[in-house]
Amino acid sequence: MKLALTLDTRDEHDLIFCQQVGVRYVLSQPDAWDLAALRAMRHRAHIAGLELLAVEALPPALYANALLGAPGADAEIAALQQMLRDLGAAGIATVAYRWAPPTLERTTFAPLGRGGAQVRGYDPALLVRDMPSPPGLNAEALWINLARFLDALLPVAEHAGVRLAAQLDCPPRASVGGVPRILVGPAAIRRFLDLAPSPAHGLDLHTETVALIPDSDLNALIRQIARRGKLFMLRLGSVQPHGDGFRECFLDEGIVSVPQVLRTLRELGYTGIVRTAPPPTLVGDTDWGHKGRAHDIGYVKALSQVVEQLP
Amino acid sequence: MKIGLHAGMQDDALRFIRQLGLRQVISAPPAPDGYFDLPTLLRMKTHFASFVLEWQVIENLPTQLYHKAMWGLPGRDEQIENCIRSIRNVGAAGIPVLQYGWMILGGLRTEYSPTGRGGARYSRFDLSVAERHPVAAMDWLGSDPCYPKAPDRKLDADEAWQHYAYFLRCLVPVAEEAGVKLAIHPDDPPIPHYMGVARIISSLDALQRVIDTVPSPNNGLGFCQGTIATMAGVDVVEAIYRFGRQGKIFFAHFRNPRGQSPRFDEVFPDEGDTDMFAAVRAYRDVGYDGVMRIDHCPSVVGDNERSDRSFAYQVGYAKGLVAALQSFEPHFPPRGGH
Repeated sequence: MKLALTLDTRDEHDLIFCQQVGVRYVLSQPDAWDLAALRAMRHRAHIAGLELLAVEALPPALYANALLGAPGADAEIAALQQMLRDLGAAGIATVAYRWAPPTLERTTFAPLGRGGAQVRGYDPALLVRDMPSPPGLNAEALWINLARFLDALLPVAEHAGVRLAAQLDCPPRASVGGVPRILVGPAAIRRFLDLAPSPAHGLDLHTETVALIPDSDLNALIRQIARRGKLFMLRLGSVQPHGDGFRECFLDEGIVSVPQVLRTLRELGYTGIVRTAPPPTLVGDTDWGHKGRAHDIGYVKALSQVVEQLP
Repeated sequence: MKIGLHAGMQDDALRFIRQLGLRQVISAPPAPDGYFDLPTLLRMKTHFASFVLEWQVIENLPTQLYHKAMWGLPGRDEQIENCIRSIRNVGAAGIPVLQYGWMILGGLRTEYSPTGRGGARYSRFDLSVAERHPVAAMDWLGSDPCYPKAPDRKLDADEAWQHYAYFLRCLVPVAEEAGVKLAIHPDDPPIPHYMGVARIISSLDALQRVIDTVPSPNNGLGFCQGTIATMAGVDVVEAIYRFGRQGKIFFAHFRNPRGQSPRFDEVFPDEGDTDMFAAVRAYRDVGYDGVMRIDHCPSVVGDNERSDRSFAYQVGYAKGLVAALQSFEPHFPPRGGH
């Protein structure tokens, strides 16, 4: 596996930080979606001794109409096709995306974590009223629009040498705040992967999201997806259930067993990206979370070293 | 073993420790009158408890409280009397371990240069540099008046051991009575002498000699893994077995240097010479259940004066090794006894 951090390549100190904590791979978000900006982003990482492997996520605003099947979708698709060609030309092989209408996915950011660390959380009881949902939008429409989206983009992605990695919805619930969502469970994952046989079609799994799927088996799911060659990226995060919702937490304290996940990845011979999720905010930490990320990277590095020694 | 960090009384330092998921704080009380007084110890302990932190180790008994004992100077008995008062008060406060050292000239380093990973500054000791600038190498801690001064006389190892044995014979019986474990920190760097002054606690034989000089369940080691790893020719994991099996590790420091005396660097825990997972297994195998303080390592860019980022990294690393051992225990069975 390639241990990575998600950062802004325009921050030289963060590039140095990354090197100092012994991480050689990064994910980032470009400051503009054109070839020059993508190349500049990759170059900034490169001269800092780091390899930029992926773009963290396509901005949902760039395909808002495509998601809803609304007028304007064709123009969005055409622009995205060019972006995929640019990504390929810039040598960036993977890009993640979500397929969900906007809603409130976190309700709290409060000092409710370990020792009073600031953590994001989701508590459905705090959703005071439903979000306005576009009329006529339902799960089937989202599936149909997604299929169209993939049909238009995957051939271009394949040609450009770029992989599209979808992220599951978190919380993994079929409706959040009255807004329908589709990528929420094992059946949806199978249906999603069956949409297209393309080698450019796959998933960016977030461990805490999978762990929040009722009755899910995180490691079994990772195995299934990886064996189909569909595990393009993985993000290590953890949560603690709380009431009907959950709170994000440090990697060593939640419902995700990071040791077991790393062991599964090693058994699979997984050589792809593994990065850590945004951590809880420790006292005096930055918005990006230097202290929390340092802690999580140290934890994962130690575990991977030991996992390598397992028979 | 119980992982902890060193801190004073500042709220944000203590909150930081709790947020990292640790339950142990290691601290040093002030001693304005030459000894640790009981009200101060209890006030500190209560303050730590209010952060849900346990205080099981004092690090250190300040050497200026017994420097006459180290040099064998007139007035040493008064200083030793004060050390005895300190030990009694530490015992009365219910703090089980008191670490001290016998570093007459203190710790030594020669460089702090951005030669490390990602340009991190590695603290280095290089004897050939130290010998060219002997006083400069004493300066690395800063100019606090409590740090040792350049010596105005020599002291050979035999004499230093005599002074040390006298000190131990006075203190160990008191420690037994008070229920306090005395833990000596080895000389860092572990070189046999400096500027004509012996550094006697600088080899595994010396650590054994400490134990054998006054055999007692209350006389043992502050096992600074980093310092012991830099003793020339020493395998520190074997040393954990050797002293851990005697029950003589009272406190431990977790650090992974690169190189050994006469030259070494303090590097990140994942790039030093010690197999840190083998070290964790060794502590487990010898049944070490005391406190393990995460030790200094290079600062990370943008870090604060307490080096929170660096310590967060190291705490995560140490916890990762412990979690790995717990998760995969059947794959790493205990090593057989000798």
